Amino acid sequence: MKLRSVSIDGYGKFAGREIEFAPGLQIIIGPNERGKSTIRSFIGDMLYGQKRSALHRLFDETNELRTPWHNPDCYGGRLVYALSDGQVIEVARNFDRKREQVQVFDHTSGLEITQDFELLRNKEVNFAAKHLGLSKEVFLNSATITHFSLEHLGDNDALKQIREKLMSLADTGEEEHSAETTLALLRERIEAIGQPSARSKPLPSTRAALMLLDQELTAAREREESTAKVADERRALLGETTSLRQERLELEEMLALHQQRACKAQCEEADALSAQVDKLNQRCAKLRALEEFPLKSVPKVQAAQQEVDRLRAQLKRTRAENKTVQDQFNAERQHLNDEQDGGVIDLPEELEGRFTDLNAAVQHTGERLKESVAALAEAERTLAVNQENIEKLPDFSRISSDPVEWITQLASSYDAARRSREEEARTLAEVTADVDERRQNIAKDHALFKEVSDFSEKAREYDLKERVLEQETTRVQTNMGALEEQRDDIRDDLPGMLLLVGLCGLSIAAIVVAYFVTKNYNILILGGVIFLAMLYFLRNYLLTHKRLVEIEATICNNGIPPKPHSEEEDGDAQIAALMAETGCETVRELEATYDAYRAASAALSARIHVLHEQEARAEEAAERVPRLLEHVTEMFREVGVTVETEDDVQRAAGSVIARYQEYREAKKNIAESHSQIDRQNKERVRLEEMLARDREQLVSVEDALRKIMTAAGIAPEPGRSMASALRAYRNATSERREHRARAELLQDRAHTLERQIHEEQLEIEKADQELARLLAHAGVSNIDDFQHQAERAREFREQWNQRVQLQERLDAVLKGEKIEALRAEVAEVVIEGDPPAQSREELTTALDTLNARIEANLEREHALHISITERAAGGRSINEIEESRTVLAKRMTDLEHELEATSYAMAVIDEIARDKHARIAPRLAERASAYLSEITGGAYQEIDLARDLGIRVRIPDTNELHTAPEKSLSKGTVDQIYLALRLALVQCVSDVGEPIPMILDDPFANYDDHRLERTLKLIAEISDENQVLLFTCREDVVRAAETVNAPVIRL
Amino acid sequence: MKLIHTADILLDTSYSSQALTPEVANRCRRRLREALERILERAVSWPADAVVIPGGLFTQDRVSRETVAWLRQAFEKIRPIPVFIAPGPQDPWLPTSPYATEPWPANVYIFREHTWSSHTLTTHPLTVHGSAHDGSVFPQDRFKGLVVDSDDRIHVALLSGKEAALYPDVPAEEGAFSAMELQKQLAYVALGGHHNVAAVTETSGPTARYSGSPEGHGFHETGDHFFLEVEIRPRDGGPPEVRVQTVPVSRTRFTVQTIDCTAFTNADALVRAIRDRASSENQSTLARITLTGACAPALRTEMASLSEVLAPHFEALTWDDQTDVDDLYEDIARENSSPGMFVAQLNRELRDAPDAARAEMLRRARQVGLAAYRGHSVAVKGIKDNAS
Repeated sequence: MKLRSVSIDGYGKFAGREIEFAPGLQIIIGPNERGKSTIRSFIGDMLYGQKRSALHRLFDETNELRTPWHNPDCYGGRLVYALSDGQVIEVARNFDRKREQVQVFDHTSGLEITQDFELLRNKEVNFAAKHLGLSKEVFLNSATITHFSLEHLGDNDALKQIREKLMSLADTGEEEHSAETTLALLRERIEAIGQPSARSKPLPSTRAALMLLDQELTAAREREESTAKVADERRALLGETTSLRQERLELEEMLALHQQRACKAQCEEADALSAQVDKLNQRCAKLRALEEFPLKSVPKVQAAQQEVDRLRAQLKRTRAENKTVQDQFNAERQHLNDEQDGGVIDLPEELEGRFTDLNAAVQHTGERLKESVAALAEAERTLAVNQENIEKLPDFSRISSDPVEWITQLASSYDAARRSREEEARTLAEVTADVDERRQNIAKDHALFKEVSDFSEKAREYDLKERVLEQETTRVQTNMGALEEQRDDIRDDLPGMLLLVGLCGLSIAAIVVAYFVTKNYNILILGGVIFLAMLYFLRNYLLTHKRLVEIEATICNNGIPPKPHSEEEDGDAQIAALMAETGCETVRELEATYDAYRAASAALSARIHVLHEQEARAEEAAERVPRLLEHVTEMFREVGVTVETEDDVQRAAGSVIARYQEYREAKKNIAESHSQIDRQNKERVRLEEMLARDREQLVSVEDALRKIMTAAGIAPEPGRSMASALRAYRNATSERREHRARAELLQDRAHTLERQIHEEQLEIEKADQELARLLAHAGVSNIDDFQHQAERAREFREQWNQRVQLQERLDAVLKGEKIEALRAEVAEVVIEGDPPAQSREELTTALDTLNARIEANLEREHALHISITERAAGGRSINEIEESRTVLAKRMTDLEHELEATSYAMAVIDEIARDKHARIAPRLAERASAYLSEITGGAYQEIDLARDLGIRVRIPDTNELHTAPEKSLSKGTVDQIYLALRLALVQCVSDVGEPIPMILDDPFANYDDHRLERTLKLIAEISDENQVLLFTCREDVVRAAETVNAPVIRL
Repeated sequence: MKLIHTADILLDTSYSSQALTPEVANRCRRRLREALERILERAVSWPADAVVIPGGLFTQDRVSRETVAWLRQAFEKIRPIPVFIAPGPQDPWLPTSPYATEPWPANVYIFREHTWSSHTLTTHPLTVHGSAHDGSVFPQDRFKGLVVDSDDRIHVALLSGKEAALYPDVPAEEGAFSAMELQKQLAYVALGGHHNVAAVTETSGPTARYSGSPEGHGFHETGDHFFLEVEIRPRDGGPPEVRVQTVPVSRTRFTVQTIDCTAFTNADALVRAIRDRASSENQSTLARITLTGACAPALRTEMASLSEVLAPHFEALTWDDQTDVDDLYEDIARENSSPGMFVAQLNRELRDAPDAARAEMLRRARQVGLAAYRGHSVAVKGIKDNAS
């Protein structure tokens, strides 16, 4: 594409401005703020419009920014450009939002061709993308090399920065975003989501939380099931209670039946009782006179009589006792007098207590000592058992400080290796299939081109020869045309010349005849002149004929076009053969086929490289598994666990952990046993010391006691223990004390009994007086009369009481009812059928049993109810757990989905980048090297680009490729490397489509005059293919441009 | 005769299929109770002569003992107003169900037989017919055994099922019935089993209504929910006059909104639009928002803060960002650049995707990868900061 002209109706500061561009290099100069950027923006907007999105008719910020300053209503213009096929396109646009319009015209035909292009949903016509094969962003970023792009390049890492820019442009068409930065962003994303190893990251932590929730859910379900069982039990209990209640109801009905019968019996009983009451009434009437006898005083009289009797008997006993006491006292006095008493010496309580304490302490300490010795023996036995156990187990302490983690890591590493092996094998299969497919796809082209070395050179030579031949052919054809025209003219002229010669001959013959007739010599003069004319005509004829013969000979010699290529030239033959094979009509077509083959071949090479890498990875992964298995087997064998197969590792790891736990338990027990033995040894020593001390003190206390006993005349028997001596001493002294005390007591008792005899005599007198008073009150003189009268009065009272009791029973039987009513009621009741088989008591008992069972059931039911309530309150509900689980599961699914999608995007981006870089790198390096060489006048001749677009420059001094030559390069040279690469990049992009016009904005800040001239010369050459619009504000650039005759537009 | 008709309350239902957190789900369950509480309060204040519940009182396999105890208490409170319950498929009468195992207050009458039976009130001229779902399939003839006497009493039937006009594809064994089968002697048929208010349009038959559920149970039950106040007045020599009044009762509002982001250049306008369209006063709103259309770059950067800004207006808010659509990718795929190649490759794979899951993964990979090419990242679904 070559931009021919822009016509700006209104756009930013421009209004009614027309600019025509040269097809090659066009310099546009103007000071700052003259609108250079506006023109660039206008070109972009004219080609692609100002829409923010391809889907919606929304304008981006440029629309507002570039609104015409002077007449906003006139916002738009026209752009004319030519395509490489000769088609000239004119674009007319109105950027006004309300009157938005875009029209595309074909200048060649003069027709509007807007409809020929796809109309996007944002109302844009997609002509520019179709012609250039680039989006607006890619076009602007790739084709525009601005001063801004270069000025921030620093001295350090300049090539790295250039590489990044280059990658960004190659990958995305933007300067900031390359595949590498894209992959880095995606890598960050994956890290944010969390790989399985990063436990604190969202995905693994969610997975762990989900496992916990599953456990909680299982527990809740189990709890629910157990609660249901309890509820079933409770339900069964309730059912049983209901049936018991029913049974109770039946019993109560049977009791009611009994009640009816009892009612009848009650009536009969009431009648009988009523008759008895009447009988007793009659008897009571006879004894009515004794109704007032003071029966209440009978007990008093009896008591008074008994008191008198008792006091007399008591007096008698007291006197007898007094006599006995006097006798005993006398006997004791006699006994005490008979004994030769040495007195009673009490042992000091403190000394005695001290002896008791020491004795007890000695015994207690001795027992504790025995216990300690026994515990020590037990600890030693336990230690022996545990040591025996641990000897059977492997020594895990030698293996790792944390064997569980070690085993887990070992098993995890092994699992990871297995997974990696499978993954790598799968990837290898995919890559192999891809490589095979690619090989198959290029097999035909490969067979054709493999024999052709230096195809490009040969094709170029072939093409050159073709062009030369074509020019020659054209030239020859032109010459032949002229010769043929000349030949035809000569052929036309020759008969006339021959006629003139003939006429002259006839004239001469006629003159000769006339001379012989007339003999006039003058006629001979005329004849001579005619003869001379005839000779002249004859000469002309002969010369023309000769020329005709020569022309015909020339035509005969040159009429067939020369062969384009000699058969002897192998290269040409190969190219010709290739064209025939591939069916290409032109070398350009063949080159395109070759380029496609090269691209496919490069892609295949890249894929083969990937395949080799993958093979290596797969092999490494495959080798790693048996190696790890062997390692794991070896390690596990050391701890006594055998790994049979690859799948056996997890089980073996479990066994190892179990063995380690046994080992740890035995170690713990041994440590505890040692500790126990130490403790018991210390205790034993301490107790032995304590026992010795106590025994020593005990001996001194015993000596003191022995002295006291000897002094009291109760010396301990030799060989007898001090404790038994003490007991004997105590017995002897207490016996002495007892005799003394008894004598004193008997004496006191004798005095007391004498006083008592006197008092009892006084009391007997009082009791006699009281008895006499009571008899007088009853109207009798002696006790016998009183008892007779009382007997009769008691009979009356008995009869009366009996009557009252019968009356009460009658009332109780009647229960407040009148006997007549009861009789009437009984008369109405008809008792049918047999009485219940069980008695009333049996029924009552059964009822009580039932009530007890019901009560027990209710208590049990209450307990079950509480149990159910407690279980229900034991944790979260299944609803809540499931809801939590759903939320977490969704989260985990989302995260896994995100991880998978991101990983997949990374894989695809990586593959595309590798493929693209591998394809573009050689071409880019070749072109950029040539450009750099030209710019630097051969000082720097080679730029090398690796597959990852890593840049190396061959340094002339050392002739080595340098990856970081910044320190030895000037800033200008770095700029020039960048420019060379950018120019090469644009051309590479153009290789597959329309040549892209380049827009340069003062990229020569650090160029010296020589390199500036050479650069402009290079740009002028490049501009034959890719039009270059060079915007600058520097006059030296203009001067340099003049050396290559570049036209200049001044703003 | 005044009746309160409600159904499909589904106390203690699970919201796990709605992806709600347990806290939010617990609040929703609490509001189910509160809705029933308000209905029963209305029964007292109106006052209603009876409350009818044709199925769906609770969710059989999830109902807690505590809820059953609460129910008993709630029904006890409105004594002596009778409550008629016809257990439905969600709360069938089984030997293990609370209907069978719990002692219900005296004013609660539960139909226990899967065949039709009736209960006659002595205090009112009302006979209520009903049957219980026993957990198996519905009988082919739903009305077999229903005998309605032609007397002076008002006959009301409780029926849980799917009316054929509303559910044309449901077979009889799943509870389908035809309005034409309803007996004319019935004054009113209280229907359950459909979660929105609906009338059965059979002019020659008795008045039959679905009360719907008093609260929505998920995003498939959006909008307001009601109970019915039914007034039946006998008429001499003709069918009784039936007036049905729908009364709004719900406090939970599930809403699903799709918002085209194309017209929004910043988050403020989008927040306003979502708030205006989705949130509701006096109700707890649970919203599921789907964003479509083209997303402006400025809006894209502010998207992460939307949840935070909108959180006070919603009890729960779920996003589905579908702002990038396939057509845009088709355009990008034509570009001669790495992003273009990337999108083109994924577009091809998408077309050949063997299943929906793979397609979804590829779609997401395309979105994430393209965003990364452009130097920005798409919020990670599932990370709490980004999730609603």
